Amino acid sequence: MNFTQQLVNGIVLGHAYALIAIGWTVLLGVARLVNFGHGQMYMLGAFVTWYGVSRLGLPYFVAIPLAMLIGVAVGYVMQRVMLQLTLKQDLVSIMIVTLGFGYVLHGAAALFFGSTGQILETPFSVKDIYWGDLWITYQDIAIVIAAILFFAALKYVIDRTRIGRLARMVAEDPQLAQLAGVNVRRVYLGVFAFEGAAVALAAALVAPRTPILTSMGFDEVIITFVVVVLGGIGSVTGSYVAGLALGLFTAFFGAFVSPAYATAAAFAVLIAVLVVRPGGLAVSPGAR
Amino acid sequence: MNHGIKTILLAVLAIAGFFVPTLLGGSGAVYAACVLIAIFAVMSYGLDIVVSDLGEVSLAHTVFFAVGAYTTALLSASAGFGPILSLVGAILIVLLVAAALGFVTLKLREFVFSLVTYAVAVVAATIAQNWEFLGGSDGLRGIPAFEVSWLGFTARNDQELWPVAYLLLIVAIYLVSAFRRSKLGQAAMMVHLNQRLAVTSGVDPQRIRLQVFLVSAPITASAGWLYAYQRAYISADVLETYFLILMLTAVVVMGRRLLLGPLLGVALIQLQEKFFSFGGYVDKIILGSVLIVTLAFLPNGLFGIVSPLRNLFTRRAAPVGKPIPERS
Amino acid sequence: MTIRPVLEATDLKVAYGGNVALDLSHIAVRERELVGVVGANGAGKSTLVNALLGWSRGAPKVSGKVMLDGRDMSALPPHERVRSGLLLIPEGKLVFTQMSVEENLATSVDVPHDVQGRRHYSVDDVYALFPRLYERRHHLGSQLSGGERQMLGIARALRLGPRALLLDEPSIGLAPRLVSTVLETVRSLVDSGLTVLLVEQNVRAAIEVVDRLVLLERGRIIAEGPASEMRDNPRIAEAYLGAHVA
Repeated sequence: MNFTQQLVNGIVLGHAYALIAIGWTVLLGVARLVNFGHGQMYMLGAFVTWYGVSRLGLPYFVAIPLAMLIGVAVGYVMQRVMLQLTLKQDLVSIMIVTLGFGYVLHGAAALFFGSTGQILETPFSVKDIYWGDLWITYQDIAIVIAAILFFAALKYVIDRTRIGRLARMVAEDPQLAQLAGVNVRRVYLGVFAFEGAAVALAAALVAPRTPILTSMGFDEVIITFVVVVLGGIGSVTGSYVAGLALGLFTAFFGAFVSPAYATAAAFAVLIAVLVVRPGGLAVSPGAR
Repeated sequence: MNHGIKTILLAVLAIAGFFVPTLLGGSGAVYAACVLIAIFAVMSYGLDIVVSDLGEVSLAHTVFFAVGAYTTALLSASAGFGPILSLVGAILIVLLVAAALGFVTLKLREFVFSLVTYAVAVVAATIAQNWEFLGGSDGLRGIPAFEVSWLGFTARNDQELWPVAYLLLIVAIYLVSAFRRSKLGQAAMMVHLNQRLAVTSGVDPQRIRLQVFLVSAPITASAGWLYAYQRAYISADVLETYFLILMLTAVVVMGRRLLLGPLLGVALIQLQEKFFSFGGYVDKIILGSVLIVTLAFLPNGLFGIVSPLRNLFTRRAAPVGKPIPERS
Repeated sequence: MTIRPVLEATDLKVAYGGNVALDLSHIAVRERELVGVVGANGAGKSTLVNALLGWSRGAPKVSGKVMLDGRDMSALPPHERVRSGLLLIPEGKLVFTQMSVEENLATSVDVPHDVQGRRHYSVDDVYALFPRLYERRHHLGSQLSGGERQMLGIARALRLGPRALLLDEPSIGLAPRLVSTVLETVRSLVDSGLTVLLVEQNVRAAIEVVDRLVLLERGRIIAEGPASEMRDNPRIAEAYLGAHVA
């Protein structure tokens, strides 16, 4: 595989990673919450989209909102169950509860969708483009465009709108925000619902690239973790850049060294960074 | 409860516990279930001191379990080591792994630490599935029977393995109890309850976390050691999330920091799987839900529901809960 | 003849971005001295105490030297400074609420007994100083009143063999009578040989017991001197004690 092809792959992969990580960027940045069920929510989004397209015969563009809706519902239910823990800032319990939810989602998905691998085919993924030596699909282009749009929209909402301001207030100091009249509960519920929608959207767009299994999701969590920490917890621009960097790294490592260990290598890079700079690379306001 | 009476009671329980399988019928299935409960309980006790005492979430304990299992498999099948030597080997290797992990995560705050342990477990699973040295996706077979020749002891089936399993369980429980009474255990609680205050008492939170890690890893690894002998076959599925969720649930479902909590928790879960199972995936849903419900709604576990009874045995001189009014 | 101070900080600066929270050219506490640092909220009192211990909230730029018995502590992390004898009784959460009084007083680090200048307090010594704690020794920290918690906080610090003791706003949340009791206890401890730096909001109460008073405003020392002189200092009288000084 030549260099330019890997460059293209890397850019596409990078945007995919950034898209998958976007839910956490908000979750960590605003609510200081971790969602260990993230990978399984991604899996769910992928399977709901697949089910909609291949079993229910829905058009791809209808299956995507369906997946996002279910994602919102799952995120909302998770946070509703954990609400007391969130308000008490009981991080240990929150982490374990989200892990438990991920496990339940895995079991439920396997029960409902089966345990064989599936391929999510979309009108985009089957259309290839050949440009000289380079190969890319319309799906890949869709991923890049969606990621850029989504990130731009998110940055705008966080920096310029009232909702963004409320979110930033809660991020910095939940108690103070409450004293300023912000309904902190609703913000937390909203943030988790957003995470559900975002990861489902990412799954609907990115999952067509590879076969999907109900046992997947773990690599996605590592990737998201690497992207968010390298980009600076809570930083929208940082996540985008880190996602891109990670995508390029994975593409080149996967092609020239070993595809199976690509995620492991990315994680090793993160560890190296964390040993030198335990706070991650960037510091954002409202980060502890 | 008087300390002396407590010790006697525990000693009686310890001796009586050995006969539980016989009391339950003594069949092969009963022994198999009891050996598994003992193994998984020991596995959970390792995690218990990290979660309940230190107050951190380590998701890497499946790696310690796997290290114990894989080291045993390699040493006994390929190098012909006996059980005692392979246990020593397993503990040494796991201490190296735990130390490496501990140093790397030394300065990380809570949730980044947990994320790193999660990722380590996933990466370990990738390695176990792809590395030929560890058998790749086929795993390692040919683990010999548990045989300590100079003692003349051989365990060819679960019934014969039970004494070993039970002994391991008793030792693990004793270690956890000793840990909680030790200076390290006290320091760990201090860091857990109020880290800043612990520092003003001269406690180094990072060193304590590392030390607790180094105490907990061998306990979980020894469970992996015995698991290798029990199954006679080890593959990458020892790194499955199932074991992690099992450990976490066992540690929290009965109540935090109860000496017999993890043992009872594991027994409960295994009971559900044997007698109230509706298939593997439904079991996943049940186990995960138990974990969620316990943490979200029953912070003191199942024993928290019967907690008022415990007050009958407390030696606190004052009524619990109300501050003493100031004498003016 | 100048006696080397027990605790000394020079050119201690703490800055958050462009915001200077603390800028002290020099502060010192001599053997058997009780120095009080007072100032309004936000004057930098807590920043000072944290900086002496080597703590910082957030990521400020900290510079300057902190010396204990002439030894430079600046490179040591907080728990090492504590082990060397620089002890802090923090404001707010100052006891382990889920442990009993007895457990709170049991130390989990080894305290060197033979180091010169470090006062060694056994459990019996501490109970003798605070008989109320002995009465309540099986009670949990959460079951103690505010005053008892303050006593326990001090007792815990004593058990660690202090060379110099930092007290962060002990009067917060206490009734006026209790405040006097606590500060008088501190005074008697100093009289029996301890070295203490007391940070207080309650100037009126502090000025009764301290040897020297330091007035902090916006991170800088704007007045200092012996307590008796400071009483007559118009800045103190005007700003904090009200127009009438008893």
